[in-house]
Amino acid sequence: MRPFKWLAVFIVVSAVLFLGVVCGGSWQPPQVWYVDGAWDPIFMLRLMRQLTALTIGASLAVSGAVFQTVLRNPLAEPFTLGISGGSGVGAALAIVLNLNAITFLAIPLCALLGALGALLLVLFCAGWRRDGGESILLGGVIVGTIFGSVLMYILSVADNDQLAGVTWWMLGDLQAADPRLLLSAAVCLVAALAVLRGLAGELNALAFGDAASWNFGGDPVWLRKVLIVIASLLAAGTVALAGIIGFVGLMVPHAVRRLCGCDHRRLLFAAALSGGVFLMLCDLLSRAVYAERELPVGVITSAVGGTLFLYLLKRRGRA
Amino acid sequence: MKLVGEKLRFSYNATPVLRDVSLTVETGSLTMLVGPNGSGKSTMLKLLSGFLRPECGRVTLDGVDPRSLPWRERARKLAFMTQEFQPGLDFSVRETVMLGRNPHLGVFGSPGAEDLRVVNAAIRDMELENIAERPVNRLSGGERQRAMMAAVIAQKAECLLLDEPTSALDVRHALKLSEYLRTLRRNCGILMVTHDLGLALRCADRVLLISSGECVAYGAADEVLTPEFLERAYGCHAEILTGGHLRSIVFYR
Repeated sequence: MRPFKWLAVFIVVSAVLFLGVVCGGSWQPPQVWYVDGAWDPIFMLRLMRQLTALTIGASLAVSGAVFQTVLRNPLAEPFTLGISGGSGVGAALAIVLNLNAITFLAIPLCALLGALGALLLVLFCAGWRRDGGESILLGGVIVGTIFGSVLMYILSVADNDQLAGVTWWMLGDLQAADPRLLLSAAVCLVAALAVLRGLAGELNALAFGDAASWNFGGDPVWLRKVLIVIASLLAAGTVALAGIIGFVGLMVPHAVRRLCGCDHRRLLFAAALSGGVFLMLCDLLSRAVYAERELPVGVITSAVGGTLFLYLLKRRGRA
Repeated sequence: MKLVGEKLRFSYNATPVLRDVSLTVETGSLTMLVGPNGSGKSTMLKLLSGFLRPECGRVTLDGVDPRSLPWRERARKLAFMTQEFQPGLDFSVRETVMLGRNPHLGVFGSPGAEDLRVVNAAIRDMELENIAERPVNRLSGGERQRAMMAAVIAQKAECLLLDEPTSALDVRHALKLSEYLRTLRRNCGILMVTHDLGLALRCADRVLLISSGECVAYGAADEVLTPEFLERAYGCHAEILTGGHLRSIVFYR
């Protein structure tokens, strides 16, 4: 059964990847991929985009699933703890101060630093009480709001070009990635999945509250620390790579729970796979809607994901 | 197995809730912990399970502090059922009962045939077969309580600490659970908190009566549950009624 399952996963991902490279915008059949001893540039760009979408979608979905369990809140998502605000401030500063002139990695680095700054602030202020993560959730929302207002200030003093740059970054852009950044994000994802699989039983227990976690899964305070840091690093990595892509981390874990249950031993892998494939398809769609220009992928994830999620909600209501 | 709490003392934010209460739970005995609301019963259980650290006194499980053990090892010996138990997500009853197998699985382990067998047996014992696939957080209070009890049974620990396992159960299920616990205690020691003093009188081997964080009486059930001790603990007059071989307690003011 097991090797069969992995084979099925491999086939699904490859099929979507193939589809994503061939269609969307112009038609790129396999015979034009490699011409006269050189890879076709459009093919390479699309391949990169699709692999970025796979990595980011998977990271966001896993991060969201962990956050929802650890904070015991179905509305939690990767950016609940102020990571979007922090990274937004970092990226906006990099764009406004024109740090791109120094190195092309300026925006990703600043976004990553901003996200980690917000996370540290949350963890420092909220402390590690045994209250089921409520103080962390509250601290995260407040820190996010503060960073949001700083971001608004930066936007208010930016000129038009800079404003457009920040806005595009905030909507999420899968093309910006450098191959080395993508590789490091993918390695982080695999490492995080391995650690989380080791803690899957503990995650199940933590979903039932602190006292239940003590009995069925070890010290809840320690667990929350480790899990929040892992999930936040995953989210911060995606932000550095492609800006803020909303909704995947909120919607995909819920949809996957509907289909395969809440046991994290299965849920995390299923969420990674579904999140990755979902974002690849959204990317494809963002290129296919208009032939000339592309939609920001964040617009697609929210529109498609929201509709899909409403349908799932409605269906549950009937059942 | 021998779980000993010696002169346990604990305060929440400088408000003392337990003062020098001692207790021993051994294999083969069913001890019931009774007392008024807020007398420190749940805190006592949390201290014994290691979830809270006592300010003074100490807890030993076969001679070692349960807090010093790795959690899997501790949870294979000592199970703790809390009242505060509410999943934020749609875990099914079966997934909930499977929590009890966590301490028996390795770090990367998945439940095997033996785990499934134990879980199914626990589901059967708690009469949850018909609702095994339903989400726990959409069950009634009593059903949810039975699901949690099934998880603790599936844990197969040598010592069970149960915080009001019968509080939401109907009469038949409460009776069934107390009979079940009496058979279970052959292989393990059980300490349970309850407000059902009649149950304590009929089923418990030993009873610890506490009030305002202090021990009022500790010993055999009919030595502890007397009108004098009960009045001291609850501030109500009590009378023990005997009908055939059954006894019950009636309170009046």
